[in-house]
Amino acid sequence: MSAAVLSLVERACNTETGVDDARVAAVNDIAQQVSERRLALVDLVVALHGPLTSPEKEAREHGTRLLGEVVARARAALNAGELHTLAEFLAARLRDWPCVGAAAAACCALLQPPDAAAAATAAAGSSAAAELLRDDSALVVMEAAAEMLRTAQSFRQEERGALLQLLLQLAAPGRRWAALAAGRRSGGAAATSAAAAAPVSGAAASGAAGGEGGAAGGGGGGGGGGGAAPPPPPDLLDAFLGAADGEKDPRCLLLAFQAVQALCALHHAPGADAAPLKALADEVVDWASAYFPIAFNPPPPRPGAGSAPAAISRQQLAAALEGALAASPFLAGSALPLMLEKLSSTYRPAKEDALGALRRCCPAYGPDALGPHVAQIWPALRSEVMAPITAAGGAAAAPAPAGGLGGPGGLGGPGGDGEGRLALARAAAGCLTVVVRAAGPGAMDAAALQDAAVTDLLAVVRRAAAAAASAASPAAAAAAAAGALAASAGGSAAGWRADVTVLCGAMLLAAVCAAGPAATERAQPAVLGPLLALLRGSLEPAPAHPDAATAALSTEAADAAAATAGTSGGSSSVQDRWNQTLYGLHVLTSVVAAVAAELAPGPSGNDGGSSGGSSNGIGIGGGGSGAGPWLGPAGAGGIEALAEVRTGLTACLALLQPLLDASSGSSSDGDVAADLAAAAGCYSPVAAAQLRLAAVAAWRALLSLHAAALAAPAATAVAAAARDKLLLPPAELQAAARQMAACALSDGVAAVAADGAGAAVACRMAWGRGMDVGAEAEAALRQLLLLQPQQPLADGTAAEAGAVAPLLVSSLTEAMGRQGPARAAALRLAVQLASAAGGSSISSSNGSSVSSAAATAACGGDGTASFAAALLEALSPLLLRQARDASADDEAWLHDCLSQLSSRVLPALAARPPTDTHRAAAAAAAQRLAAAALGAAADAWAAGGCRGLPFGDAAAAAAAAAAAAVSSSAGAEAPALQRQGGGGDEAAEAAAQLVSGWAGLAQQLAAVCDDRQQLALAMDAAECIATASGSSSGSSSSAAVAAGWVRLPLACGLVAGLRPAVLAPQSTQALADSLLRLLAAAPGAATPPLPEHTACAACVALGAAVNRWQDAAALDGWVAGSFRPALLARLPGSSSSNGSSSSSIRGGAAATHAAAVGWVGRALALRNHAALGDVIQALLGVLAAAATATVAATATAAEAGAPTDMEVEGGVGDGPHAPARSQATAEAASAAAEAFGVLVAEQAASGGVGLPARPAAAVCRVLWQQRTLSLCIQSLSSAVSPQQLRPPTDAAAALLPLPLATAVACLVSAAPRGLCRAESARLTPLLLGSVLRLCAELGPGADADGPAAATATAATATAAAGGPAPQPQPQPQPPGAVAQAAAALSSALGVLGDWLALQATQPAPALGQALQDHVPELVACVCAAAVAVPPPPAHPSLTTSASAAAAAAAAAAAAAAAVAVREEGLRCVLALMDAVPYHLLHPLRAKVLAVIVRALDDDRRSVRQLAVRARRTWSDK
Amino acid sequence: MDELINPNPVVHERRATQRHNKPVHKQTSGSSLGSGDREPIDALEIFEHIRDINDPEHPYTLEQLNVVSEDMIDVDDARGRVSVQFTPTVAHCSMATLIGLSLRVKLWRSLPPRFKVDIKLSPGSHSSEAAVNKQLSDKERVAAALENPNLLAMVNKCLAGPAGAGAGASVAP
Repeated sequence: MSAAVLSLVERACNTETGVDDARVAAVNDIAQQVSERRLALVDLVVALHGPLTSPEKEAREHGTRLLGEVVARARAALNAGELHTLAEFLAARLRDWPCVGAAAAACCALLQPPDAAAAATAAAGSSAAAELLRDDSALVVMEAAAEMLRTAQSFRQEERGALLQLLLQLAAPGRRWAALAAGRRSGGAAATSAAAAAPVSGAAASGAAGGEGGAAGGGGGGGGGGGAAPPPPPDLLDAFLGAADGEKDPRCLLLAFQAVQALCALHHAPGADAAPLKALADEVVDWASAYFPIAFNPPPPRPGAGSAPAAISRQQLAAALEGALAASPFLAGSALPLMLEKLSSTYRPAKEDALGALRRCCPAYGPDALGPHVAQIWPALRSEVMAPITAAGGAAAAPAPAGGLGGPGGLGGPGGDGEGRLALARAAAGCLTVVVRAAGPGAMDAAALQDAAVTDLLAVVRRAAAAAASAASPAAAAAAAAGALAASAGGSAAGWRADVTVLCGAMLLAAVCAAGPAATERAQPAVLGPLLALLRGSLEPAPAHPDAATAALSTEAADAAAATAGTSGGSSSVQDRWNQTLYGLHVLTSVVAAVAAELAPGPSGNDGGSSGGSSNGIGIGGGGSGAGPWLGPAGAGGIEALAEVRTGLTACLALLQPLLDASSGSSSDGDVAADLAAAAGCYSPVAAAQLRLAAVAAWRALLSLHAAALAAPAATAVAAAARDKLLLPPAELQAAARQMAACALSDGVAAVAADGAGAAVACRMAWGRGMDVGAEAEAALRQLLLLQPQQPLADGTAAEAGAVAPLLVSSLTEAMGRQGPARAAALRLAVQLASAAGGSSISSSNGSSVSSAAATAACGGDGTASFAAALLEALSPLLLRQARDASADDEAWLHDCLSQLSSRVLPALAARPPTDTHRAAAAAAAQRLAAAALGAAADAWAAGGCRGLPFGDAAAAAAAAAAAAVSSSAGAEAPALQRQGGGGDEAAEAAAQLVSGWAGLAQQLAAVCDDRQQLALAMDAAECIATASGSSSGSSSSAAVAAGWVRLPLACGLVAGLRPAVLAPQSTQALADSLLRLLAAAPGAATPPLPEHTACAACVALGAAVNRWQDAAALDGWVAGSFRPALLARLPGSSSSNGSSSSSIRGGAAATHAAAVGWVGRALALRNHAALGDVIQALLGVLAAAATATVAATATAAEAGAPTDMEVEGGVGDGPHAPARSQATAEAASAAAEAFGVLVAEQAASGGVGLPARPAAAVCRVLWQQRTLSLCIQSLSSAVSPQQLRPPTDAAAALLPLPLATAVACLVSAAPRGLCRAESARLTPLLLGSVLRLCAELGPGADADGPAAATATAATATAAAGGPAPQPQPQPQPPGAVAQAAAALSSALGVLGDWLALQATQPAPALGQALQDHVPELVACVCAAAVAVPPPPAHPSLTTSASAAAAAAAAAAAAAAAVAVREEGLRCVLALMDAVPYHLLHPLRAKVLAVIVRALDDDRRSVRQLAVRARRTWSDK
Repeated sequence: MDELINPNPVVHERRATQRHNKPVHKQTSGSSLGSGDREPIDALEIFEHIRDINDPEHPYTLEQLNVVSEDMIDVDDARGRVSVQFTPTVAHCSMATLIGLSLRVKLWRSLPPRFKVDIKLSPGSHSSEAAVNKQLSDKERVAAALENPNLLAMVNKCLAGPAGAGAGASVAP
């Protein structure tokens, strides 16, 4: 056995390179044997005899390391005796310099408490006790460690780290060793050094004395120079200071900072003696001060050795240092002066670190330790908070040449410096709050409130009015020039300076007040009371009797009143004193906001959101003491004071609002009328804007106070009473709602009138930052709606939340009922408010408030839902009235309203849980609205006339169009449209959009309803559809036309909105049959075709019905018996349709059929139905038919040489129907191509109605997308011949047919990206072929015989030659087709770009192979795309089939899509370099660079920028 | 280099420049036929190309040192002319030619080949202004300079952008 052990040990000690695995295996083996007690530790040591005692230091180190590793793993198996022996041995090894690192690691393992699991299995008893290391053993280690720590400076970094780890292990708070070290020390300090050998108060008392002796002996022997005296107490702190002095390595420093914390905790533990710490405190701070502030430049990450073990950051180090400094109150004496000194430094990081350290340390030190330093801390922090004043002073000293420079925007404007200083001041204010609180009541707050800064604040506020008054009286104008400037708001330096003084003062005051109730109570008589008096005084109509107004208040307030009244001489009105109002409001707002942030639970504090520095920039979050101290009995005084401020503030706001309302009317008259306005009792526009902002900020602060008080836990009755004092009474909440709504609306009106996004004003009280009243008011309203009802007082607050919502709704609907810009603003506001809970992103709300909104929405108790319900209820009559007699600009609003409602408000409502009480109300409202819409349509239908129909002129235009279509012969649609003229065409288009909006709304409304309501709606809709399908086969009447226009889409929308469970089997059958009849009806000469939008909606409804069919057998029967003959068999490409009957199908109808087939296919795909294959084949047939037709046409055209319709028809020809027929085929083909997108898309919509793939709204099987996509790819691949996919070199005919290419692009862009990647191997050739073909379609340079692969070179050649070479022009494509191709192309390129980008970042072998196999095609594709430019809009003489305006619009759409194509193409070019190995790209490099150079001169700037990047990437290689 | 030519340059903030005429462009493109209009290459676009070029001796960009600015750039897109004037931080700056060369190379790589680029010192900004201007306008000398691998490496370092500068600095020690 010993031989085996010896060989094992030999292998385990062998550290030559290349045998790591063997070594690890050997170590594992040994550890295993030891822990199973097959190998006694003694035997191991004997076997290790050689290495452990070798004169070679490497051998000794390896031996020690091996021993440590074995101990670490077999720790649980060792008994106390072995442990002690090991401890002694390792302690001796610690003193052996070469072994110190290994020995320290081994000691660490020894000191670890045995595994919890191991202890549990040992089930108490003697064995468990034996596993613990005895105290005396630990002491031995401790002695040695302390000794080595003193000399640690000379060790290598690894060894220092190991020693520090050992120290941490020994001093870890809460462990036995820490108590041992401290207890031992206490003994040592109490008695003389001889007492050091006294028995330890440990558990293992029996062996303690012997162990102690042994330890002493061992220490003496090992230390060498120790002498006979008993060893000194292992003063770990002292030893540590020796080790850490001059430490530079960041890893060791982190450990060292932690060690300071642990050591301090050790001395502060109960029963421990703190005297040594007290003695050494100065030295500790001395040591730490060398590192304060941390200056750390992390080494650059080396590209070769990427796996740096957890890089240390400066923040980490700084936090650890702060923790070390905060570890003990004894450190305060030296640390605080250090921090204050660094605070006064001009180096910014030093300031930041000092503030952070103060923030963390002061609470840790406690009032007693802070007491002596308050006198120094306060001025230092004050000067930091007030620092922006000196900056403003500097700006004032250097006279601003432009006048506006020092004013609003002076400090805030030049982004960098001012902002930085402001952030620092805010941090200082936050720090101040913490420090004042830490110093305890009455210490620092008293000093603060007597400070000159605070009294200055009062003086400035007072002076603002006085200056204004004196300026108003012409005699004293010169004397008070500075103050007058402040009042004139022109933005002079002096005025700005006053502003800054107020801002800083407010920050200071708020910081002090936020520190605790005692501070607030103290501030009330000193500052807050006088401020309130000043504010109220500035708002009182006329200070004719100043004594009576303010005599009751404090003397200072009386002074203020006297100052106000005395200088004014009666000439000053409320409007002249607006500066005073502004300042007063701001200061009080700051205080309220800061206290609210403190009260708010959670560390994030200020939950009002920080949209653009709301609450006027008091960023004191994070302190978060919670509401405890405020609501306790001690906080009563503070609460009283706060409540007084609150009531005073609301009273002043109530006074202010009428004044603002009065001036809002005049402000729109013109800016020049400022004087006039003042005379008429209004504020000047500038003043009104500033005051409005201040008022909104004040309300927001009050609301957040309210919310914080609501959220605060009220454990006791006292607390509840105190809390109720802070709540806003319902009447005030309503007042807030009214005022905020007025603010938001008036601002919205202004924004609409000015046709700008938001009229942001440079807010003087937000450091000149631009703020938008509307956005702020909207945020306040949202805050108001999100107030959570209070559980204990459910009845009262429920009523309160309910009271706010109707109030808001009534004011908003009133605004919407009026003409003019107000309605758009009101709609916007209403939608923003109603959809907030849906989590939709709103620009002005930050992340935290959105998440809090979502949280409250989840618990379902906020006011948003009730608001939305009430809004829906109130909107419905308005909507219907608008629908009945709408003018042109009404229509725009209506359209907006419909789309907003259906896209944002209703989905948010539908996403709520059904148990929500407000949802029932919303559902009822929704049902009423939907039924009313249908009913309105029915009324109009019954009336039979076209005038006065719902939805404006739509029906009239439709009737005219239909009549024209009927009267003209089949296929000759164009003349009819021309006859009607462009105007009617556009009107019909707009009306169709409107009806689409209504249909979408109907779907969403139905989705909100509950099952019973849905059933009622469904019956109405089914009846409507049945009637329409019955009448469509009959004669055409205007009534039928109207029904087709209006009622049908609505009914289809309703059907699409039903839940699957609602449809009973029979009714589904009936519904599907009537829809099918409607769609499949072949419009002959007598029947008008379905309008396009109606057909779209009907297709979706048919799909929805098929999808929700519950009876599977019946569905199979329907598909075989009705669907197949009626639709599938009549598609252009199918085998049975080539008969004579197909010639009568007109273009629109064929496209409709294809779309209907596509939607039914989607429905079947969602169900994983077997008939899907047939549907795909039928669609492919349509595509193929179109392809052959086109090829034939172009071939004939090329032969004939003159591409006119007259010539073509002879070629294909069966009579005069040929051109119409080929057009019909083309339209059907494009519809079929789009249907491929519909099949797999996550969301698909048509005509405003959609069939989403969500289980709640559809029958939806797992993996349906994968199967459908796979099936589609398979079918498409089989439809394409292989040579069509090779980059052709000879004939254009070999390219992929255009309809197929479009279909591939639609399919790929609609399918989820992940699925596309998974299918990349099969998809790549198809996709590349499709892109090539579409590029050829788009580029004018893509000539008939030139292959697309050569497009780029050919194009550059032509560009170089200066003009296009004479080539046979292809048949001019209609612009609509080009636009469609461009859109499909850009999305297909998006998929390609996605592949390339992903391959560049995280390569996948399958995708990489697929890409590498097709590099030439790939490069040809992206090159062609990067320079794709659509042909210029065809010459007007050629546009015979469509009006010029429509052609121009289509051309514009094509151009826009082409820009997207070029951008995507260049992005692909960029990604190509990373995604594909360069050696494959190199042969093509010249070609690509030529294309890029061409793109450098693109018409679009964005394309040029991408080209520059691409050129750099490609030419760097 | 042992001694920096300008040991303590004044550093300016990177300004947030925005295109003022952008909305106008949107409007014209919105009105049906205007979509084919070209967005011309303007001074700001040129400035975007050159603002982030590194200074040869300091870890700052030319914009931060105020060497280039938007109003010192003249562009005529139709005729294909660009004229850039730059201002060295000190009048005896020996790096002026290198800066000029970097500007020229950067624009040469970023603009379509039809453009003719003129790089000049702003008048009165350098002690040997005429000589430097002559050197920068001499295409033979420019071509010769770019043949020199050392010079080309320096130019590429200037053009590498802020990230590249960081990597370069970290390698040096």
